Parts: sequence; structure tokens; C-alpha cells
Amino acid sequence: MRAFVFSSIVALWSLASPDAGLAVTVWQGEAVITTASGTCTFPGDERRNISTGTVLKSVYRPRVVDGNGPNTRISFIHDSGAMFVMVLQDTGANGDYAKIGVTHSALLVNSGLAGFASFQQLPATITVSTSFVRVSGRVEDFMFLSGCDATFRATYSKR
Amino acid sequence: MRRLLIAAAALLSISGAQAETLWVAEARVIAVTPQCADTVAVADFFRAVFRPQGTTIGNGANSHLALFSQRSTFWMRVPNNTFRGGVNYVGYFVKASLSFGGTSGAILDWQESSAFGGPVVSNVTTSITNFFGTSQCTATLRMPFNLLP
Repeated sequence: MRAFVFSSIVALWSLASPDAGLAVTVWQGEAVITTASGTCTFPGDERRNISTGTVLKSVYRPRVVDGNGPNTRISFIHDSGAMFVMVLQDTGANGDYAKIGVTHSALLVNSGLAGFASFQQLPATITVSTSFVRVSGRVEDFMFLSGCDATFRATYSKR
Repeated sequence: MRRLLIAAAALLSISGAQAETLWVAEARVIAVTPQCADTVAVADFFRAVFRPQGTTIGNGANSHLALFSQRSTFWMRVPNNTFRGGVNYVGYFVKASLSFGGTSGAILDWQESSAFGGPVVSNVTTSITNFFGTSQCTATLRMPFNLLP
């Protein structure tokens, strides 16, 4: 029920997304996986594997900057084979995120929640003139891999 | 016995990732309509992952095609059908700005060198309307699909 309510909120909110008319400002860079535990590797299917040292293209869209809207969003592209977007539902270091994207199996995910922790953004306050951003955190079900718990450190420059 | 069950469950879990049949290709754009100007251009390319329908190959009743660029994705599903000329799709996009949403459109044409399911390679040329959710943007792509082991 919670996931359903949440996906409905996400769907309605995306329809009313402020970036329909306002410019958004994003930062783009690379994320490095610093630890991975649980179900993050798949023998015989290397392209899904997430492990320490995995590098992913990432885009960061911090909340309430320009027309970015009320939720921070982070995307990760894994070897061009899956796109994972976290829409953070909480503004603190720990909380839930809504799952959006397409899996390694070419399947859409646009509902459901999972947890994040130890989220840190540097600098703590970002403006449209911020050149560099660093983000780190721990993510449950990373890249839609159920049971994969990963920590990442990402560095971005303004796009 | 408990250990055996756990081991069996683990094996099933691992094979779950294999219980599907996927093809991969570099999708290269060879033609676009003028309405695509802010969306896609000739010579752009994507990683394409194709999941044709087929219960015997683990893919179920629907066919899916996902396109990934370096920082965005466009996903399509043809319900209860194969990708072929004259069918509609329901889609979803995530743009490089991390804006996302649903869309729909049509597969105007789908030419494949071999039917999916038998040979490991099939070359596809297709034209897709409302590409990446952009109204009246029709893109034509070439995709030399290669079966994932």
C-alpha cells in the first residue's frame, strides 16, 4: 500500500513537475562504488555485477536549485545497460528513495521505495553557480538489484 | 534438508537472472524528422536491449525494447505482441535532466533479417514515432542485435 501511494505521488508529481516550464540545473560526473554487499554479483552475467571499484556515469539534480523541484534526484548508468534513478523522499542523511528507471533486463521500474543512508553532499548548499559537487551515501537495492547494498562516492561538475 | 533447500533457492535466485532471453545492439540513428531537432540526430547511438515476447524463452507475453544513451533512457513495451510494423507501444523516458514520464507511439516499420528466437544475430531497421517522448519526432534506427549468452 505504501509503495502504491508513493508511486501515485511520484506519478502525479511528475505530471506537475516544475521543469515543464522552468530550467533545471544538473551536475554530471562519475560515481565509484566503494563497498558492495549482498546480492550484487551474478555469476554468468557479468554485465549486472556491482562491486567495489565499479564506475558509473551519474547525474545529480539537487532539490530547490533553479527549477529542480522539491526532491533531489540522482541517476546512475551502469555500463550503458541499465539506468537507475533515485528520487529522494527525505532531505536528511537517511531516508527513502523512489525507484525510477530501466533494469538490465529491459524492464521498466517506476514505483516502489527503498532506503538510503549516510547521504552527504558537499558543499552542503548548492547554487546555480556551484562548479563542483561531491556526493556519497549508502543505497539499498542499488541498480534495482534486490538485496544489493552499495556505498558510492560521486564527483560532479556543473553541466 | 534445510541447507539443501537454501542451496536450491540460491540456485534458483541466480538462474532467475538467466531465465530470460535478451539481445543487445548498438542502435544507430540513420534518419529523423525535423521535430527531433532537440531530441536526437542522425549518427547518435544507443545501447539497445531487446526482450522479445516468448514464454518459452522466459520473456513473457510482452516485448520490450530499451535504449540507453550515456545519461538517459527510452523504454518501450508492445503488449502481447512482437515489435513489427504497424503496432503501438507504451513508453517511458528518463531524460538527461532527470525529468521522466510516460509516453506512447507507433512502430511504423520493423524489418528484421531473422526472426528472434532462433539465430544469435538479427539485423533490425525500424522507424519509431514520438521518439523519447517527443511529439512527432520519428527516428529510424539500425540495430544489429546479438544474443546475450
